[in-house]
Amino acid sequence: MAKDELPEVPVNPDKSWHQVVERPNTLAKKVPKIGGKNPEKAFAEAESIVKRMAAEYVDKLADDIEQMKKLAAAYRSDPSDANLDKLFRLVHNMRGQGATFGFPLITEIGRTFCRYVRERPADVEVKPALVDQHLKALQVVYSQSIKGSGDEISQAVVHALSEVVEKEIG
Amino acid sequence: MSKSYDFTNLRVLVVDDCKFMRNILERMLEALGCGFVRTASDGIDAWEYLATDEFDMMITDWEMEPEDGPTLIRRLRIDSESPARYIPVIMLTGYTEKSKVMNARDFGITEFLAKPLAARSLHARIVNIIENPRPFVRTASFFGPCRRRLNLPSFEGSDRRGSAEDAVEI
Repeated sequence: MAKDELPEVPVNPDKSWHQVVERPNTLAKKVPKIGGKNPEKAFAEAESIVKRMAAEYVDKLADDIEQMKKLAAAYRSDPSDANLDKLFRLVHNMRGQGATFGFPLITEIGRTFCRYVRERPADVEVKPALVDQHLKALQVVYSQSIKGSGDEISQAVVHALSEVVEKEIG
Repeated sequence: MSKSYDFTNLRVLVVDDCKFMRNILERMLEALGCGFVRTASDGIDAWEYLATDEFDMMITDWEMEPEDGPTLIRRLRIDSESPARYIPVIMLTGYTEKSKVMNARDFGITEFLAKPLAARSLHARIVNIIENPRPFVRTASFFGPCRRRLNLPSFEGSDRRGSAEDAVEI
């Protein structure tokens, strides 16, 4: 396939130098505005797909929780950056999926966990106990199948974790 | 009411390290009427697809291993061997923090879509790419879609396209 060249930058360009590249809108020709699926019907179809996949999601969540327990055990015995990164990657994916399938608390707890791991200042040490509290909270959401925003206690836990993390991040 | 866009000829590459998310995205795009959807598991895998086949747009996750979304997008925009320098990119991510969103524009993304995933939002991003293509801008330190027209918090002030603080090092 023919490659598009990267526009060249002049030698010692002025600070405000820039070049605008306008391209023909080939996609508009490729995608007619008529003749496709009725969008509302397509959205309803997509929604039903998400609902059907929600059952598969619960199985996947179970697998993720099991994996998380193993990674958490590894992190407890060796609280290294590498082990924490493995936990981060797993929880980050869980965070992305939770709310899509009716578990927004997974997303919320995952969000504060990811924020803690990645956003804390370089001179702030990770507290393994705080990591553990997040993981335990995720386990509880799964084991008690807490869908939606949960009860007052659930919300209080999420709020408390968020507050502690914000304090740690500064 | 939305127009009935005919996405039959649209060729979309989905990049996500989570098989479950790849699966749901593929099925959601098919529900919207997309005729050609392929999936890749990370940036390196995606590069191979883009080098061997034609795609009209790419939807990519942020956190992936071994190559993440930001690295893939940067490479596509500036690498001399890029197989798809101008491909529109939707960044689909669990990140919702403002700092992350603002960073994403400097990678050269076209649209930003925060999880949870919803067909209506996905459709809106695809339609925006087709209806409102953004020109590309080359500065001394950036190449990508014009960042002023990205659907992000407003970018105000004088013309700073060429200023160092408005760009990522490449």
